[in-house]
Amino acid sequence: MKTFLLKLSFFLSLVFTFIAYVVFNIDGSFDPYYVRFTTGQKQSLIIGASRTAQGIKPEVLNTKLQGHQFFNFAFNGNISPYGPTYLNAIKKKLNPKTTNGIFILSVGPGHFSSKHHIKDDSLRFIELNNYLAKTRFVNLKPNIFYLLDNYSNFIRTYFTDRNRESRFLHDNGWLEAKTNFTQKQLEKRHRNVLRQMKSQRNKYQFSNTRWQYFLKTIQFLKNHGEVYLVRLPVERKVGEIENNFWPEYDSLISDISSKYNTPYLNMTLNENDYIFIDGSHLHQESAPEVSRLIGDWIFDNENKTSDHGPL
Amino acid sequence: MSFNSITYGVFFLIVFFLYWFLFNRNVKFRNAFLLIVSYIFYGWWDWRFLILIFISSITDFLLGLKMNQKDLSAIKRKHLLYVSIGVNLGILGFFKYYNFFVESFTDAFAGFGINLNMTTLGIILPVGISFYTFQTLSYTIDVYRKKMQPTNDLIAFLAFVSFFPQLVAGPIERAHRLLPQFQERKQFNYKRGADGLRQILWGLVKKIVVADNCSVIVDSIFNDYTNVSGGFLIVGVILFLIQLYCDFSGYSDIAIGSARLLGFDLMKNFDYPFFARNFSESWRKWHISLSSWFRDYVFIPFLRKNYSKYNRILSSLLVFSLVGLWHGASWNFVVWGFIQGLLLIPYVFFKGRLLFKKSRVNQKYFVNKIEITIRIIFTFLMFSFTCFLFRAQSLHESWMHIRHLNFDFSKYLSNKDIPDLSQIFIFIAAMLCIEWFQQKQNHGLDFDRLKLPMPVRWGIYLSLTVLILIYGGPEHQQFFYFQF
Repeated sequence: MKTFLLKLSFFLSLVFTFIAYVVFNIDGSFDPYYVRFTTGQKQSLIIGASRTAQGIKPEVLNTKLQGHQFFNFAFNGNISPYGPTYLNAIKKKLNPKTTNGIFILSVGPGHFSSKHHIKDDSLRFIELNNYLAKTRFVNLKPNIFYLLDNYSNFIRTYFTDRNRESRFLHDNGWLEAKTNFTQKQLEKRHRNVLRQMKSQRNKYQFSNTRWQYFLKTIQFLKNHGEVYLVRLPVERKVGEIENNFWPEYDSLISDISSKYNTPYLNMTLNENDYIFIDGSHLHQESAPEVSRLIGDWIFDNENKTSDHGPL
Repeated sequence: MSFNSITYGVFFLIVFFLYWFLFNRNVKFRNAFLLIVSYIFYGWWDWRFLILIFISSITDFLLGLKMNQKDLSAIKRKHLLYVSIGVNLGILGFFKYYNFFVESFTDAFAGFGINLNMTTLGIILPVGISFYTFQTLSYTIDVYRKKMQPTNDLIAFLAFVSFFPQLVAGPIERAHRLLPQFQERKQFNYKRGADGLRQILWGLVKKIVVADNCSVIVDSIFNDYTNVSGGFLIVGVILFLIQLYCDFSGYSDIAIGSARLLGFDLMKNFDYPFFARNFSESWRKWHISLSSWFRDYVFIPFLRKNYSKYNRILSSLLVFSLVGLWHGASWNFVVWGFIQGLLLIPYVFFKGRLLFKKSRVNQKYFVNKIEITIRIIFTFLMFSFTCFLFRAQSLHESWMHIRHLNFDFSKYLSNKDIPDLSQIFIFIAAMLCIEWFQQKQNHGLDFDRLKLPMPVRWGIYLSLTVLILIYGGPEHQQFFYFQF
């Protein structure tokens, strides 16, 4: 029995070594979310959806805004950044001792919409059953709970995921979409996005729950630093569909901006300056430029705040 | 608690340690422990099922003792056997076949214009009921035939009926083989333990790497058969047979390996059936515990009265129809069984000739090999094609599949999530190669004969474990035979 148990233990230790090898080697190529749940708590966050995940590069902001280490905590997968699940994740990711953080909140009409025509639509938000809700620990490396809760077999995904070459999630949370599309492919993707948006727009309506959570998120983050609202650039036709969905959107956000003292930057007006991979998401080459502009804008605002603030 | 789940792994590890280090000091303690863990194992599905297994077990235990009373007349003994058969088949019939018979009667009378107002019931089929019912029935029949003495050890008997490694999908053990093993003292044997582990590993490989991957393709093809070319239904049904074999024989390997780790020997359930050279041989190699059960308790008693060629044919058709019905309460299973019986008829008539002859010893080696290969492939393909009936939910559905058959391979599934056929063919080819070379061994990883050096053996075990880790997962697929 002794020999049997010794040999069995040795064999199992080899098996666990293999599993450990996989777990410790999972990086940004594994999926577009995992890495965000493996870093420690952060002081300056970028909040948003897929456009933000791909469009804002934290290292560009860090260069401009010395003393801040930004972390892109934006997710994709059709999730609005405003809802109970996301706010809960933000609370876990943010270092509670933070008092002078900078928080960039991405805003757009789509973030305040819902498919469900019921009063409390939060009960049916898509994120209630996805990885964001399932992930109990957001600051753990390796995050074995994320892997077990979100994958039927993460080892299989590690070895057989075929999308590995097309994207990479960096340690600072920036999702680099490694695209190498031809002009024809870009146009086709753009047409698909427009078609999808047109077919979907009547299914969605304004969600008061999402709006309320947007305000709650601002209020929460305001206790830990400065909040900046940014509407990222999109291609003109995509922007038109969004504006038609909610024509008074921009003025309402401007009101919120004044009310909560959260500067607002609308970047959709200069859409011709950037390249998009589908009309909705920025190309990896345009992300640094957009990030630089945001950095400059925040820098100016920060200086304004210190000039006129406490004094 | 399925064998391919982490839950079973943890459960078995706890049982293994408690069994050998705590409860094995005393046979009664050990059996009581095995009974408790077996009931926990079975209750994991639904604790209410325990009531049924307990009723079956206690009935047969008491009837077995009663049958052995000295002053009991032959007629009374026979009546006691009928009670046992009635109780066991009554429970099985109600839970498995009630709705089937009600629907069949209603349909049959409707054919004559008579509308019967019989309603079906929402009955849940208890897991493994067909397996343990046959196992416990074999006990009373053997006691009735005076092939064995009844036991007066209730705990050992209850543990025998509910022994968890083989409870839910066999092998269907005979009391005279397994019951005495509960009454003997056990000592851990390294060689047997290690072999048990290897057999479990091989079973998991067949189930997780081959069967589960096949099932993804098979389900996709059959669920969407109108959108694929008819030729892929041939691929689908062949893959289905391979899935069925790897699923069920994989289960049997895990069951036998688990039992061996606890010091018990279970009977072989599969003997490399894909290498059978004719249909008769196929059934001697496939689900051996069931086919031998029917042979011993139905076929042979039926033949005893009349051993003519025509009675053998009639018996085959009857027995195989029952084998089909045992598998599922649906006419497609009955017809499937009937066709299995039909395919055996040529063997009865032409035994020793054509495809049914034994290979001649003096035949040239190469010619002999080619002939064997052709016979194996022919038998395999015939067996595969009967599986259209086994795979479908109804006779009508299987007919629809067969009607769609042709040799066009132009249109395959468009879903990108479906594994590559090439990948699954590699797994199947590797599995078949190993089993071909291991035909004389108990299982695919029984390497004692080859005397491989330890690093090579460990390399193989580790590679296979890695394959399981890659292709397995917590969201395991149920074993196919659980539904029976």
